Amino acid sequence: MNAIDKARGDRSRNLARLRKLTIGTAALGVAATSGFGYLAAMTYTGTTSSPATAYVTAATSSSTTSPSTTLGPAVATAVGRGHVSSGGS
Amino acid sequence: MLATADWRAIGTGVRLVVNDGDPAGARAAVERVLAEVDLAYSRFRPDSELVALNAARGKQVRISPLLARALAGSLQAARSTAGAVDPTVGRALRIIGYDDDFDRIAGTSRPLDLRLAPVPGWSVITFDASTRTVRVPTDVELDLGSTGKGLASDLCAAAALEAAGPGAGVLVSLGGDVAVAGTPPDGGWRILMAEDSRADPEGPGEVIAIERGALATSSTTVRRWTSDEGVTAHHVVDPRTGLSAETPWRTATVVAETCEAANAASTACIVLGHAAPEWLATAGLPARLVAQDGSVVRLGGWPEPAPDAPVADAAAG
Repeated sequence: MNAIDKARGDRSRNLARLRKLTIGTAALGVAATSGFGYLAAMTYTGTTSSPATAYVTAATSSSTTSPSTTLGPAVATAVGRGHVSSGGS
Repeated sequence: MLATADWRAIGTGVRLVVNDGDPAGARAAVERVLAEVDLAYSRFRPDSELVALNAARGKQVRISPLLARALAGSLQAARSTAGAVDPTVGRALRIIGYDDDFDRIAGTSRPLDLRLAPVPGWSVITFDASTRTVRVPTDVELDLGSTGKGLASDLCAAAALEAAGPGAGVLVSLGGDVAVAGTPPDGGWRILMAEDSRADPEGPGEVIAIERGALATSSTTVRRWTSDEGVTAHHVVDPRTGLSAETPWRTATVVAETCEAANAASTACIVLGHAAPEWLATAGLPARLVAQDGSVVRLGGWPEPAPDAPVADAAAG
């Protein structure tokens, strides 16, 4: 068994153990409901002399509502050509 | 009237679509933002602020407003996902071979160093947003990729909208991480669901539309490399192991108010694996997960495709 095979074997065994300890989805849910609204609402104070800094507030002030009560933006079925593709990059 | 421009920046493809506005001004605004983003938090530029921070060896460092914002977003994403998305994966990414712009990695093969070691975890970072000071412990390396690209899309969309002029609308895509702002075209901004963001958006496949917000896709199939020994890795690291995440999903696409949030959530889905649907239900975000066998799971109000929509290959769903 070479080093790579051993590493794969170790990985599989350890992953199996780790997955038994998978982060509890209940705890995740609590975090999620308070998290993404805050992520969208975060602002910070800084200089506005640079383009990116100037738009930080504008880009992150669109929502302060918790996703626990408000779903993300609506998604509709569309027909026709896309304006852009989303996928891996 | 729509105007489209494509180019490459920060190691990925950029697409800008302007609806009834000044496309040249919008592009110039996007280019300025991306240059600033690259200098602030690229992991591959020796002169970037992030590289200097990673090399500070435990010293407290005062950082720029932009890096502070990006770091705050990454830490909040870590909290929101209970650590499924973690900015301290930088060293793990470097060890498994993602140590350069992917354009330069893809054509090479070399031994992979597989060491099972959980990443240090975001809680080791000491960050004071009010003073913009941060301390990164020695041997901890930050990578803001999971949220940083999404934030960049958000910033670019805001800058492009202002530059495009009153009444305009803009769409900015950075490698498939899409943010829109302003007035959408009739029927909304149409986005093709693809395996690879480089796919022709006018090709076959499921098309959805959004009028506001953002959409991001995380994938285990595109930014992927193989060593001489045949060991394959991809860029989504599971913080519990420090290795590429083993996941049932080929791609995870999430819609959220911001691209930063969408990217954090889509990355979390890849890492969480089978637990992702339950987590998404609690987060309340529309999502589309494509399993390794090509089957598609739609959640949170994600619509079924139009019955007469042309079908893409199975992998893209």
